[in-house]
Amino acid sequence: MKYPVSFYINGVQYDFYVTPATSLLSLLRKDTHMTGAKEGCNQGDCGSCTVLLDGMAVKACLVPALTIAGRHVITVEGLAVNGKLNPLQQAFYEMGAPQCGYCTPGFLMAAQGLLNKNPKAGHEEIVEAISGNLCRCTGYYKYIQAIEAVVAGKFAKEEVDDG
Amino acid sequence: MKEGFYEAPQSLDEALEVLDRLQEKATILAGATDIMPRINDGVFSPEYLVYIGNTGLTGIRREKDSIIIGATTTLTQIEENSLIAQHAPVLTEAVRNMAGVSIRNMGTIGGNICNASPAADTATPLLVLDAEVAVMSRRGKRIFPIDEFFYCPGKTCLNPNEMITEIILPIKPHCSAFLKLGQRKAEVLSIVGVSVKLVNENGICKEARIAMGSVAPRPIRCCKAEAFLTGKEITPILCHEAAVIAGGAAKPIDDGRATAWYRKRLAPVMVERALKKAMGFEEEETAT
Repeated sequence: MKYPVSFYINGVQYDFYVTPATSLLSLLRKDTHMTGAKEGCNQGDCGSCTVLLDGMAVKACLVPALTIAGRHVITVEGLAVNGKLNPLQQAFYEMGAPQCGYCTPGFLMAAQGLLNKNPKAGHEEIVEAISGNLCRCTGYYKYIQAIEAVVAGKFAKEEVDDG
Repeated sequence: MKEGFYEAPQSLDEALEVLDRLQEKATILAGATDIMPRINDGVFSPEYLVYIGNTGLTGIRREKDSIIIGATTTLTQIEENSLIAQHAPVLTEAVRNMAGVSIRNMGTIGGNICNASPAADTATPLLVLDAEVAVMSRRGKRIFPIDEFFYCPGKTCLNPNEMITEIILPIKPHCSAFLKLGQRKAEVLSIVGVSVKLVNENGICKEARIAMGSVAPRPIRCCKAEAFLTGKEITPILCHEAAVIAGGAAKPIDDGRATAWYRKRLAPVMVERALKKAMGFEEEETAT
């Protein structure tokens, strides 16, 4: 049986018609063709599908789409504003954090979830925040450095033209 | 795979009515973090998913000498709650060691105990805190100690038409500790998890609670070791002796995380460390 559900993805309202078992991840990838969130394990272990739900990091593969009616989802596609990378993206890019890149959207969203809650997060909190994200190139250190650089204000938002 | 049906009651009354109507056909869904992996794998196709996230059971409040935690309160909300940090720090510590941030943002305390996993990390703190579980059906409410809640893996004393509404923690002075050993720090199920609580008056143990996870078909209390400690002067040696007795209660199995052999030897070590940590006996680096 399919049921209607509406929620927001990157600020835009979407209406879907889905089965109870449909995950937010499969909706994003198959219905809206936003493939930024990756399907790694589909078990909630790898973190490559991490998105923000009302500003909090969650694993999209574990979220039944019907349960988030009216809520706001931000995917990696929603981070850049007017084509301008957000500070985390800019830091990841300039500091060479991604290697193969598969896990990168998940790391970005997990890190953004942390900064939403605490823009001054310390090393321990950063490590904790990305503990649910696996990088098979094992490039954790550069991710941590890049997030620390953003916390330190090296990629501040003032560069973004709000116009 | 069957597509299944979905219900999202908008109040507790409505939820109880739905459960009464569906009985065994209903699978209650809250944070979904334990159900979705099985659904995604295709090993579980629930006939009806009943989502209880909108039934007003989220929140933490104080009532006289109790802390009341709503069943759908998320693990993150518990981790960040100052009332729990102050009066039940063993629960805060346990939650902080569960899964990772993005799972804790969704997973609920009610879901964690209703899954009745022997490794449920909120179970041992709730056992040592003498938590009570409030359960409702259309026929009414019952409240009982959490020790009576768990039967065996996946099985609780809940009837099909019932759901947990609240978890009730008594507030009274004590010292406590939670320790967990897993294959790494985050996002793992425990190999052995231990919670202890001691009521210590002038060095004499007035009350002891020891609970272990992942060493039996359900999270267990170590009543013999608790009785052994009670009334005695708490010393490091006594902690060791109590831990050996507690270890006797461990009836572990081999699984993907560790062997029974290892768990059997690990359990008393973890209990001893937890007791000493609760008492502040030594600052040694312990594996958590």
